[in-house]
Amino acid sequence: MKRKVWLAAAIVLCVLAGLRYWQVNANPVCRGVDKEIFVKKGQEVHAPGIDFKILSAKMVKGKENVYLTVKVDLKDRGYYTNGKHGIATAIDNMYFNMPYSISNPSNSVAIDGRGHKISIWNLTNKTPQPLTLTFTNLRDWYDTENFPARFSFLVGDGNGYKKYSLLLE
Amino acid sequence: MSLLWSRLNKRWFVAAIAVGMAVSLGQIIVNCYTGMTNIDSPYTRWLSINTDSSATTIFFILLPFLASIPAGNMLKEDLDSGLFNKFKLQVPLARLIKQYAAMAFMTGFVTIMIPMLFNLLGYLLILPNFKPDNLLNINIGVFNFNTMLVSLYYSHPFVHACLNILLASVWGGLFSVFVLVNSVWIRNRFASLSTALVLELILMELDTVLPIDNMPSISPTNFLPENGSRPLLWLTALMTIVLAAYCLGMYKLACRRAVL
Repeated sequence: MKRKVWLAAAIVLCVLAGLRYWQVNANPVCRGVDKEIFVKKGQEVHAPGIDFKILSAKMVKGKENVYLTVKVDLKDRGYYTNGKHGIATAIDNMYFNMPYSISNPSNSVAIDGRGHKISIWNLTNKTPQPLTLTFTNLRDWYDTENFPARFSFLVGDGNGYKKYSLLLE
Repeated sequence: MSLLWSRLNKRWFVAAIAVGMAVSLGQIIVNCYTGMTNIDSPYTRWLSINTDSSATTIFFILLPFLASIPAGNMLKEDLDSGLFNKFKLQVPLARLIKQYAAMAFMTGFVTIMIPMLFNLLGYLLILPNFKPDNLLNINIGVFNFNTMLVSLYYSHPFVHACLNILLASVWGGLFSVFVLVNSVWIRNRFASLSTALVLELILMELDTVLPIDNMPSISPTNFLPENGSRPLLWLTALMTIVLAAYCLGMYKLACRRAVL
């Protein structure tokens, strides 16, 4: 009798847990990064909320650091990621990506289309394009990476993310 | 085995699991009230990955002690009380001692496995189940130098978490057997019970004070958590084998001692 009660309780608990699992995963706020889309240099990409084109990307391997310079043309059509809008947020979500060592976001100073230096936090939709961004990462981390280094851009689409990547090697 | 199972003091077994459960439940509750964002999945928040939380530190430091509470001391107690001699009449001696060791391993294994599984499954009922990403979840700090099999973590996080639970549970079992084989030689009951804890503390100290730059970790508190500190796959395997070999060697000696 006692055993039956335990068994019944366990079954009820499992069913409740299953229902709760289904409820949590039915319509989540975030689905994470769905897929990684590889793009090419000069390709016009229509991402959700933003159009962009990577004009050039050059990686230089120094003795202690690895430097990446990317020239990118952005056209904001309502970019929205992590609860924030705008070009500055878009730059925030660009990384010098070296899976699975430490990946770095952009250095804080960018160069706008007219050749003026500008802080990446002051970028707006009116900033002349294309932007030149610089990234710095440690050589050690480059040497220990598991997969080839890439330039990656996270774009939110509703409740998920898409990762656009340009392989550097 | 059923003989020893009926002999096992269930109250201590339940108490050890309860302490582990309390830590893992506390970790969930604290996490629910602080700092859960919508980019979090179970695999970025559960006990073994969230090494910032003090619950994780407590759990992995207490691990050897908790694991050895249920059955680590059983052989010694029975040798002292004479119950061992009674069992000897019913079960062949070699098999009896083997059963003691198996019981110690299994109780240690289960004592660690249940709280960790409970924690992981608990998070699966709170947070949506999706794969972590190395850029989106960069703030949890899982990189190739602090996580073993990091590619597996980002491609199949549930498998990685299960492997991690398996590793921690095996270490729980080994710590319990470690206590068992040492307890035969140590008179004081509490001293023998804490040998596993002492071993871990010594390894922790050695890990800190050894003057080698970028030394991969030899301390279980560093390599057992999923998001550890300087773990290395082959060294972890080696440490596991060394501990198992010690247990096996001492087990042979303990057998001889128990027969006398």
